[in-house]
Amino acid sequence: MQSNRSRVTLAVVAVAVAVVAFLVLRPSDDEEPASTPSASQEPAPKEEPGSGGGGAKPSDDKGPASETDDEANTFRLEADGGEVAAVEVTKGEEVRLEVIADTEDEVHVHGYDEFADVAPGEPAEIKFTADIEGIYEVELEGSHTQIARLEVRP
Amino acid sequence: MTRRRLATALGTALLVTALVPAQAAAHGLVVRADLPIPEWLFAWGAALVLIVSFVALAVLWPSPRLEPVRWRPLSAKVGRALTSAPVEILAGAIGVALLLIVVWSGLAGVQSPQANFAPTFVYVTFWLGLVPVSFLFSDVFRAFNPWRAVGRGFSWVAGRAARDGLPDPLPYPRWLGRWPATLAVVAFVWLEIVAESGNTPSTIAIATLIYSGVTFLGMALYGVETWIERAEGFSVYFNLISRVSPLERRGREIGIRRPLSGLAALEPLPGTVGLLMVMIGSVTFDGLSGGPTWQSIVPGLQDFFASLGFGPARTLELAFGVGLIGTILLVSGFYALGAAGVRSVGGARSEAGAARAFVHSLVPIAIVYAAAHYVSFLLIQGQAIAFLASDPLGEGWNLLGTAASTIDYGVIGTNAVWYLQVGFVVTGHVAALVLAHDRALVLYEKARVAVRSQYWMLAVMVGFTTLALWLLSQANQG
Repeated sequence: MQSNRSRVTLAVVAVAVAVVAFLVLRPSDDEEPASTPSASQEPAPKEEPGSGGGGAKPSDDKGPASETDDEANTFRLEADGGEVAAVEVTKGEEVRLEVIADTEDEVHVHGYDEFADVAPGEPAEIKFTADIEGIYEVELEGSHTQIARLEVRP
Repeated sequence: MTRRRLATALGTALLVTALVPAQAAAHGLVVRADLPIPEWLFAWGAALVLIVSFVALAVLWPSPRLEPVRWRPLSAKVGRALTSAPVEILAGAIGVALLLIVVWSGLAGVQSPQANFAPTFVYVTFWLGLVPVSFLFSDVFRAFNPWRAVGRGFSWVAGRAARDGLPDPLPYPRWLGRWPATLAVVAFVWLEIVAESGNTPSTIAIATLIYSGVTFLGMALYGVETWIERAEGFSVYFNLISRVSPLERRGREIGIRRPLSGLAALEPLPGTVGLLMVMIGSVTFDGLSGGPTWQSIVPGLQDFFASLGFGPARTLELAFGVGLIGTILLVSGFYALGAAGVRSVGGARSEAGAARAFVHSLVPIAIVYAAAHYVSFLLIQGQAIAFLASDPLGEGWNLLGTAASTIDYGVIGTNAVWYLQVGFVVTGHVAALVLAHDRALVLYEKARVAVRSQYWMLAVMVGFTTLALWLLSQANQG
């Protein structure tokens, strides 16, 4: 067994290796895979059995539930209890959600606690700045139907 | 899926939603979910774990340091004050009051998990909040334990009333060990992660009443302290965690010991390995169930249960139940493999003996699993207790003047969460290595054999740690 000094040396070397490994493996901020609104043009079919999401149930039909406008960061969402759309943005971006529903209800963006009324033929419009990171639900408050999954990345 | 089945499923889902207000999945309390840790951080964490492990093998000490436990009392005055009868009675009364508030708000309050005191208090403040408290300040829950307080109060009164004193409690069977506690934790986790109605306030209140009944019966049969120390799930769980703490109470004195050394003194009663497997397995499954791997498995499981004739509301619950139990069994199988390896090194001990001999070293791993997985949930949803305490029933009251407070979802950034998570996991890994190494030095007379036995335990721990990191990189990946 080694003396205490050689142990300390080993520990120091280990810390140094760890720091180097960290610097090498850590990507610089600008090459971060910035998620642009276009990433959600064709949201991958999402099944969220874990979230239950009220009326949302595993289904394999239905097309994409959201599409991107010409305007940056506008998401059109359909609250039909079908596919849960993915809304992926980077922190600090302005987000505009347009929600179409065939019932009278209230759209709720969790975490941000933004609300807007919706009715057949009267889409809800919600605008906010995505300044809190994390993953949040967008749902119809009355029927507990999850409409979308808002993902705000750092 | 045919259109008709789809319609039936939708109809039933709507019906269930109507029957159980604000029904969500088991984790209906989670508003902000964590982003998965990115690949580069996963790689870095895993690399760090390997480096730490190899360095540990090279620099670890040649004679045990944590065993036997060295303990030295702090100021006698402080110890006497903290363990005095008025303080004990006050702490117990607070515990009982909180238990009653949970039952009352669960039964009488609005049945929405977010607006009622009971779900957030039980799942966040109590179950998650007491983890760091126990970790830092030792076995605090023991003082506030409502069942223990009622049991002690009852036996004090009954002892006075009965002329010849109370009859002796039954001898607690040795084989029973910590199994009742293990069962209690499984039941709690089932309610938390699996049961569809696990977040419903009334379910929580009824479960609390049933569990209180069982605990009172157990204490009446086997004695208050015996039942609390071995069989009452929450006492055993928080006591395990408190063994990391440098503080320890002995009699009426409070003293300090080396951190972790309390774990070395843990008696590996039957059921202890089972409890650790439940602790690690349940957090593993909770993480897994948010990720894509589990979501690709779940439809198959649901179809299987649907073909057995279960309704759509049940199939998801059953699939999650299978997932939870399956994950606990997988984790147990992995640990058993490691124990078999340790045994192959030599010595006459059985595999179960080897598994028990090293089980205390899994406690830090279990703690960091929970810490990494729930840190942001505790920091964010934990804030809700401020306004819920003012309005426990969700009736619009403002008892403490805090009803207007809100949750600050930005209290901790994603990067901070990631670094905390990886930091926790690596720290737990180191603590586990230290404990296992120390135990091996006690068990094996030759240091070389001890180190050889450690290759196996090291493999087990690298496995658990990598699994933890992988889960964090999987979780909530839509």
